[in-house]
Amino acid sequence: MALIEITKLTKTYRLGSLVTPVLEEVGFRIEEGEFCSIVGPSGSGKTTLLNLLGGLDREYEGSLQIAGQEMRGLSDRQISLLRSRTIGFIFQSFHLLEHLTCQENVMLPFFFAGKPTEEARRRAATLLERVGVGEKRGVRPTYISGGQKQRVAIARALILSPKLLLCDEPTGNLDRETGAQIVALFRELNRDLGVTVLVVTHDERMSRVAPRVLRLWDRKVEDTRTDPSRVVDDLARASSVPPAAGAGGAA
Amino acid sequence: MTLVGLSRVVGQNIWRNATSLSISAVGIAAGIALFSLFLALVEQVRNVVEGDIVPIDEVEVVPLSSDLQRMASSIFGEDAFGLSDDDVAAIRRIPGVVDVLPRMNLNFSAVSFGGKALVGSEIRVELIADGIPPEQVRDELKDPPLPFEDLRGRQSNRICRYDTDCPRGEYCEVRYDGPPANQLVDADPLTVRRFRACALPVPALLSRYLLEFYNTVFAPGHGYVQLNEGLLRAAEKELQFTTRLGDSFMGPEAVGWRQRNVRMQFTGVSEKSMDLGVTYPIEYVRDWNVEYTGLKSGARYSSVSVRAASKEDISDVIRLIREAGFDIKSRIAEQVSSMVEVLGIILLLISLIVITIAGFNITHTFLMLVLERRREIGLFRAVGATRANIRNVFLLEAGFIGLLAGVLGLLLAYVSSLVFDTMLITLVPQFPYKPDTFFDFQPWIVATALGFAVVFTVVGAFVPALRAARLDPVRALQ
Repeated sequence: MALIEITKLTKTYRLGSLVTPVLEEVGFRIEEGEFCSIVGPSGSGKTTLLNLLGGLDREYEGSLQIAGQEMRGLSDRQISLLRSRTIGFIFQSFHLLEHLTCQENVMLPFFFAGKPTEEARRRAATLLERVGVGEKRGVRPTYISGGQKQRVAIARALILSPKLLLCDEPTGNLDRETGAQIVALFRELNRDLGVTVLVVTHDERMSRVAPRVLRLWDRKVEDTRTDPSRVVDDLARASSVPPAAGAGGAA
Repeated sequence: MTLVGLSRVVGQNIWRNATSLSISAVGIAAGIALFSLFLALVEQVRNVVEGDIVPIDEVEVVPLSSDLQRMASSIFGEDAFGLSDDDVAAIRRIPGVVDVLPRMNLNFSAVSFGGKALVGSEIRVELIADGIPPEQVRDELKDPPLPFEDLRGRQSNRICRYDTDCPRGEYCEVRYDGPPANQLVDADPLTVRRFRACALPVPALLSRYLLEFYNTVFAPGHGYVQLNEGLLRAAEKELQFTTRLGDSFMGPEAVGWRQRNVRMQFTGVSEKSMDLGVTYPIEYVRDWNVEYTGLKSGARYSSVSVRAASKEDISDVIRLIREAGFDIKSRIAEQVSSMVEVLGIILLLISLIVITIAGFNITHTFLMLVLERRREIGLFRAVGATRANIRNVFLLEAGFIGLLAGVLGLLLAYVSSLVFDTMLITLVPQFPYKPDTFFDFQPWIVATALGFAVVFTVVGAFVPALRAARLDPVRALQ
């Protein structure tokens, strides 16, 4: 069973008489453990697609199934449970709560999942170590760098061991070097933990790092697979590698 | 979401928004302070009015006083007046009645004088008195100087000329033999034998009301010493007054020539004593009534004090008493009680208006908070919070604020009550039944105030909480 299965997905924004189609009959499948990037220019519907995949937006036509569950038919409680157990979100602007310490930020999803605090504390500490900011756990986000903030946000996304990480422009607010480190971390997590990573970005270099690229263009999705031998882990080196030839077909 | 998790999130939120939340909580605290202060004031007024001045679980039963009844009395004679022993027994059988105290008024005039040794000047007053069965106060009086009962069986009755002829504790009393005084208008005084015999003083009771009246109205005006129960007990020997039966300051008495003095000894202060008068053991009053007004008046009770099992039972008891053909004397307690109720309702309404306005302020503050925390709410939704979780975070936050405001309000009320008490006790002159405190913070008042604080804050935050729960997570995160 595919982790994500999309068939003839259409998304249209309506504001009064103004109708703006964003996605038209899009379809693709993503299996568990894949590392994909969704690339496209601004306004191409990348974030819209991500919001649909995360169940934050459930107004669509066609079919969108996550872990075999059609998103549109789920109740608020069911969708929250799905988000809590299956999906981890990573945002461009981190969305860390400034009044909490890094560790408390990481623990946050645990509270809503109804799990014990002690376990949350332990797991948060382990994850912060894992993403390389273990020493910052008692510090408030105000006092750490952008890259460190994103690492804390990644730890937060991972605390409930989700199957799917949805990353919305995770390097958008970071400098090239830090961005490259974060992407390397995603690769590492994908490889070591088997978590499916879906990175939305307008950074074309991602197509060298992700084995699979979903290119949004003219309300359609072009599904491209990179030759595994050409995939690089390091985004910093990606710019020196020639672009990959399309291995998959357009959806 | 666990309660611990929810509390953590809420605790962090309160800490972070402490300033704006405390400002909006001040309104609730002020309302609660007024609310609990008014309730405590009404409660204390009710305690004093219903407990000390007019016991609300007690009524005085009198015969029906309709014109028809009066007409019947005039036709059939005095027997129709008052209540008989059978009437008392019938009243005693009414469900809800726990205590019945038959009273007999002194039906002729008398004056009392004495007290010079105690208060510095002789007090002379027209005597208003009645009699009650001594067993009704036996348990109440602690170690009285003289037992409150008919002592005539114990006295020597030795013929005497002066007090010194009598045994210790007795005095030489004038007595008459012959028909009742009121039947002697034209009779030959020689047919009546006048003699003196040794007698024990007649035990008498005072009411707290009378003592309070004396202390606040009478004593200051005349420069007399103020009295209290302790002083009365210490000065028991000086508390012998002389009562001249058949005399009056009001005008000439028909029985004037048959006046005689009896000595009375105050034996204590009792709630069962008549308010503005003196109460004797009923046997004395019965015999004096017979001696001065004839046999029939001595066989009837003027009223019966009835005590119900509780304040709640009193209205049923009153109804049953009326159905049994008796009347209830002056329902001052009822009137005072309803006045206190009305006053209480008005004061409570004022405080409720204050709390309601404060509730709207809470709504405003929480709407602002929802706006301020838009992104955070979006994040919560993204990391697995349900709408109910979001709503509960805000409602629990409001509940905590309400509780804190309630505690603050109660503290404010308590401190204000101390200030008011100090002011009222030092600045306002003494008046009857002036209490030591004007506020009674009963546990139920504290519980109600806290409950109201929480409810009004939570209700105030309800709409903002719903709005937060319904926020579109996509827009919230933008």
